[in-house]
Amino acid sequence: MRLRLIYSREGLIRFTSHRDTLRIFFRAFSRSRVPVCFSGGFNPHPRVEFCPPLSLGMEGRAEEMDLRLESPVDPAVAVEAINLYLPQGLRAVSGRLLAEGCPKLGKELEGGIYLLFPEGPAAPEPGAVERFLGAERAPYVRKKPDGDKTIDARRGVARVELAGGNDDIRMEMEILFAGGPRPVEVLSLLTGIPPGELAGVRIVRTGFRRKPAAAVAAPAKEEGYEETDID
Amino acid sequence: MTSTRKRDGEAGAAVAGAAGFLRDPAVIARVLEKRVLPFVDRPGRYIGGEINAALPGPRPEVRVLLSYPDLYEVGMSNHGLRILAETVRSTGFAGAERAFAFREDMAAAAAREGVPLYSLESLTPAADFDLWGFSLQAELTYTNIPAMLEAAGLAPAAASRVWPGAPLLVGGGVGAYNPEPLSRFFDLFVIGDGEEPLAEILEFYRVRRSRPGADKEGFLAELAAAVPGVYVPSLYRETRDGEGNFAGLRPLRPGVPAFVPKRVLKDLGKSRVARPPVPLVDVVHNRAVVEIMRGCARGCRFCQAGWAGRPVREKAPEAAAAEALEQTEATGCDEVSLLSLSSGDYRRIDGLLELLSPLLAERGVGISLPSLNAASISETIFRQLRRVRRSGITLAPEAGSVRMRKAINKDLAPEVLDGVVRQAKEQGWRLLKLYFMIGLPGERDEDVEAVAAVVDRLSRWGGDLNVTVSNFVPKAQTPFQWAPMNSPAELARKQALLRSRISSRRVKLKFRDPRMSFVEGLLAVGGRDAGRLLEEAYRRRCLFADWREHFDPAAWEEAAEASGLEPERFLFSPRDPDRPLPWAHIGGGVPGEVLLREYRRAEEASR
Repeated sequence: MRLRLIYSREGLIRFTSHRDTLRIFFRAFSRSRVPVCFSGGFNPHPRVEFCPPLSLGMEGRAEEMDLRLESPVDPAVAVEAINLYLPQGLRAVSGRLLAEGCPKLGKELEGGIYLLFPEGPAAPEPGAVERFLGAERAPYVRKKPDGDKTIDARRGVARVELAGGNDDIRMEMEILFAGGPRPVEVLSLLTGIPPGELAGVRIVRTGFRRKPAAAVAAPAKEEGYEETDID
Repeated sequence: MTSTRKRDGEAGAAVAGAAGFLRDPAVIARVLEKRVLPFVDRPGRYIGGEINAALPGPRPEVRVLLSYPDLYEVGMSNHGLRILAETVRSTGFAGAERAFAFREDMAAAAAREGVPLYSLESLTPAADFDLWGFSLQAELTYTNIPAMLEAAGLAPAAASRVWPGAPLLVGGGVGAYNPEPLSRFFDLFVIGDGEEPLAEILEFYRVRRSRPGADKEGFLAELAAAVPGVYVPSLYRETRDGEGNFAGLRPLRPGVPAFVPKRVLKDLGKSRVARPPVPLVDVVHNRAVVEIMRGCARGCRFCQAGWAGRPVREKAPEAAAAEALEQTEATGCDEVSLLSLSSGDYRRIDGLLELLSPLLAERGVGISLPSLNAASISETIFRQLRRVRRSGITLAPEAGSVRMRKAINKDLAPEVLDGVVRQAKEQGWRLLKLYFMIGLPGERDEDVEAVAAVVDRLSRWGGDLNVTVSNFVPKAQTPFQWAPMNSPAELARKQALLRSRISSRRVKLKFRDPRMSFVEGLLAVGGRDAGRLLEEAYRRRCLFADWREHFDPAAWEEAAEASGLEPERFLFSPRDPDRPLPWAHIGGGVPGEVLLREYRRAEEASR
């Protein structure tokens, strides 16, 4: 049996890494006595599947994770119990039990929906957005310590919209996880500002794009289950 | 700096006077989020907000900031700070918050944006606290103290900080047994166990600070007279004999004690930690810690914690077990460390383990004993330790030859050592860690070779073997406080010798950089003039010197040169027992004649 937990990450705690966030959650599971299954072996860890991790500094409004349970729980009670042991900024929002055969997160989630709040020069011109969307390809040089790599930043970007104006510009993007660029890379391409200088732009992942139900295969039973191991 | 603020349009009014730093925690939070934290490495160490991080109540009467002069990851593993935080809160009128050092990138980003060093609990600037306490545990962290003061917008020199206004800087911990190299930075030191004197200082501060006309020097003099164990360096002056030699420090005012004996907490049961903050980022030691015993009666002659920590005091097993359960309940940690200098010497260790380990095991919590003397490891200890999780087993023979073992008074017979190792193997341990020390007083090459012989013999024990070889550094308040230290060149030679004599390839061998030990030695036995070294090193940005990858030997060498210290005179040669040591006015608990008798015994044994 699985419990799907929706949680948010806001405030200063968004500056912790994915690993640290995992550790915080695992500790909260153990303290709240939610009956999460543990892997066997020398160093047992909870059997949990997370959605693709938020980058360091990114906020999340409705992040998802699936916990494999040893025994059924009342989702509302579990959410409340977990919240007692989460630090400021991390909050379990809701939970629901998944029916057997319900697809795994990794199969179901196809992309992220992002809200960006670029200020001043970090806000792109509407024309730049139109040109980007109209282009077939958008070469982008990803700088890496082990050598630069050129990617097509247009690929995997399903939607970019500008809203608001003047001092309150918001940008919404939908980007596929498979092969898609990072939101900040799209913004960098649209403004010509290197991504390192855009690190201060507030980015919120508000939700996910899901694959149509028919396209999602039911998960294999136990053995196909992916686990997240932090050690 | 100005242009960024204008762009923000919100911070101008919140800027403090001359230092130009932001003061309003709400503004600091916004600037941190937008313009500082996104641009620094591992920002999670600067955000606070942990479970059990206690926000100060509504405006406590006295605000205390507690610091360890290193990064969050290191400082959060310091047990003393946790104890003191609970001590402060238990007064009912004082609040305790934490701050740790900024790494260089954070220091630069924060300074650029006008963010001062701030407390993790409420983002309050460090400069706005009443008292700022530092835990002094390692000499190589000392240069981070002026750096933290600067990051807070405060003058590093105590004499340049105005009071009331700037917080009073308080130092405590083993480093305070020779406080002189730090005396120019600190307003006062607490000698010995900090729990009781800190509470007394807070009470004194609460009652006396608002008296009109109080000046800093007068206030500190009254404090030094009122609270035993308080040492105020600015109230003492160096004296010289007819030949110009150092002749001790004398108080400048009546009422100020000429000799400051350490404070001793009689009942260890009064020192407990119930709800320590749980680090959000991975730290050096992330576990619940219960101090079961303070002090050590073994008397290894090099060991500062052992000698200065006397007398031995034990916490009752029931109290220790209750504390362990309360902490695991409050933190969710999956390991409890039973802290002491030699856990096997805790008289009721078997009883404690038998009581505690089933209770913890059913919660999935393991037990670790950080310091085990091989001579005291019992069957029960072995059995209990492997109940939940089995880490490596650590033993510290320290020396290889009989002569050296007798000289340091840690005579661990080879049969005992082999017996423990055999038992460890039988019980299924796979990793053995050994600690040795070289450069000991009276040491000859054959003693160094003897270390290699022990390592070679144990390399066939049946599992992995990690060996750490440290360098002897003389420390205040120990029998070896008069002993000479080897020069870095001599230590390097001995390390090479040791390495060449170990034939086994299965051993992971780790050495301490002799140049780091050298700096440690200068600060461990130096007097007030060794403070110049800290200033010169700080000016050259020799920070985080305890991190091997950050230690800059060339810059430290330059700093040592510029400070004019003469290591040949006070470090590489023995100190004359007939002359006062730089810390002669500080009482470490064991009388000088006892320490000297032990030193003479060591000399005889190594003859």
